[in-house]
Amino acid sequence: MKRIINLTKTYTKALFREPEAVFFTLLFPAAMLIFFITIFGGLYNGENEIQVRVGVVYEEELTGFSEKIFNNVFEGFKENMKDSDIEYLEKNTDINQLIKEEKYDLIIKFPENINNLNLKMMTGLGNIDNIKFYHSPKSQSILSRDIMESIFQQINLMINSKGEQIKLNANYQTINSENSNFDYKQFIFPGILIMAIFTASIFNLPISYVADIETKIIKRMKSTPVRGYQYFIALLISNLILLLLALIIIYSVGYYSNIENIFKIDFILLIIYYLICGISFGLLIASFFKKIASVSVFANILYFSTIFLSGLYFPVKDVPWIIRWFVYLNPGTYMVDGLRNVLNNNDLSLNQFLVPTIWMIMGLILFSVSYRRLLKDE
Amino acid sequence: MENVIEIKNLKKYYKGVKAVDGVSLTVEKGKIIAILGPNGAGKTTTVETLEGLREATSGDIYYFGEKVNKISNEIKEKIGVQLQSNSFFENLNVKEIIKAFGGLYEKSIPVATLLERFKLKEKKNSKIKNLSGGQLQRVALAVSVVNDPDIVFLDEPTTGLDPQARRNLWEEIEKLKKDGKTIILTTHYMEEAEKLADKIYIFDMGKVIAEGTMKSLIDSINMSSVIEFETDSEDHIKNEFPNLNAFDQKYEIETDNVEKDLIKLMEISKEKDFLINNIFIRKPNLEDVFLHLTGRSLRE
Repeated sequence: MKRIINLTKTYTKALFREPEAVFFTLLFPAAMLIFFITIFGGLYNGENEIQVRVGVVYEEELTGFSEKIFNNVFEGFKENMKDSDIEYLEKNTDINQLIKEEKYDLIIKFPENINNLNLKMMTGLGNIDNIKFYHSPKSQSILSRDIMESIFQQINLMINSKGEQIKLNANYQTINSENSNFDYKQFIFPGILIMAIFTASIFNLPISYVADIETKIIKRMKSTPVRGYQYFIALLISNLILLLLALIIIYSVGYYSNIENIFKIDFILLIIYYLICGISFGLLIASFFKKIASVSVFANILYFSTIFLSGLYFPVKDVPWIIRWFVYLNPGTYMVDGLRNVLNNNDLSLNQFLVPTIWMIMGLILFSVSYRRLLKDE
Repeated sequence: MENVIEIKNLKKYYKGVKAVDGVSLTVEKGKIIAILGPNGAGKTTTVETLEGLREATSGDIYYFGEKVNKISNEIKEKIGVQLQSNSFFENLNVKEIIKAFGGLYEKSIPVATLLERFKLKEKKNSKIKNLSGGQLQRVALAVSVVNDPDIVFLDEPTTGLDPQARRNLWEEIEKLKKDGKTIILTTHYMEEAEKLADKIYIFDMGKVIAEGTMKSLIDSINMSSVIEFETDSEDHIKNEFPNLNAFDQKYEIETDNVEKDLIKLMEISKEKDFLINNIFIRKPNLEDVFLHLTGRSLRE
């Protein structure tokens, strides 16, 4: 025990004096979190493309001019915004529920007397009640409302050109969605945690280990009474201490950025589990190399592809098929999604547990088979 | 005198390579043993097997009179090791390195004592990566005795050092002997073996080709003197002196009669009209022993 403690102290000291390890593990993820929250914090959850879902409810079937005007407007909208959609809903639809469930970004309800528009346009007589816009407070929903509002202003201009002082009025109702607390901060926080875990496990751990082989520090250790497992425990603990500090800093940023649910016990337990999976993933990498140059190149390629193709920064479900296979094999994809689900009070899917576990088992098996071979210096 | 180490017929084979091929040696308590030989002679493999860093293919190893199958932690507590390459954490300082290695043993000498003893006090806060070759070797020596071992293995401790740093390190090694340590030293510098060793084992191609004190080894080749000189006309001399040895532009003639061979050399020079420079007459040394035994130079 005394040896493990002394060796851990030595490794921790040595690790904390490696500027690259300290920067990339301790400071970089926290800096990225601050950067992303500052830049993208006001946006909806990463779905950057304009893709709105609009529902339309007619309390009365449209006829005549009204029918022509609004049908033209909505068809034009569909044509111009290919990714968006307009659906016509039943009269007795529960609008509040649909908005709450985020099935639609915006629902437009036309009043019962909307066909009075026909009469009004010809005679100037008759009243039309306000058209109602239902939306959630989310940016995507507000964006939909703004688009539709500008279209209705355009309609008003068209109507004015045919008669006099005819104007369709609208009123707006905001409905909080069931997931209204979810925002970009909630999206990016789990990603940054996984990034810190991967920095320690894919970079620091295998490179420290292979460096110890190449610089013969392991050989020097072997000439003392230190045993192989004592060396590994010390190496792991020193890397975990650095990672723990990184997580504390990320958590501090998260706390002051009002990210919710970060102290949930199941979320913390899942971080610990994924941390073990990440470390095993690092050991898997360490199993194949004896030279710093080779492990550095491989770790760099693997780290960046794992991070970028895990959905950490942006959604990866629609990446081209040629790299989609990597997304599906990448344990990071499932780890990031798993943490997001738990952070946002959703259930963990089987894959989000199973895939990282398979990688963890593979890492542990391969490393336990190869570590004696790696430790030998013959 | 008690033998602290004894090896019988030690073999270490790799795929197609006999790195150590039936080495036997004994190490007496309190003595300095030098293992001398060219690169690839099997010196390092032999000591690393004794240190527990390599497993022998066959042969017996005895520590303190007892046969050992594996170098246990109990033995590692009693030995100190300096590897051929100094392997320390570059970003730690001298004091931290000595303390770190001390912490790996059951007992250890206080860091301050070792800093004082190896003249490292002024450098105690210097990072390893900022030390000179000589300072680094002193740190390695301090680390090798941090557990106050009975036996110290020094694997080519002065390789790459300048002559002054080398002499300083020799002084430190002699002090260790005075402290009662048994030292096993590998080297390819014959001066080092001559200066420090009580007993010398000469290795070549994985075998011990000679052993003994320096005097006994030199006496064994029956050579009284060596005439060294430089010339650019090797062919003229070669015919007259079949025992001529050449090293780059330098030549050596082993002789039992210096006066007769020197006159003969001068006469050939005058007759064939070529120059002989830097003539030097010396006593035979370990280099000559090695040359005599193998037909090759230690430096080859």
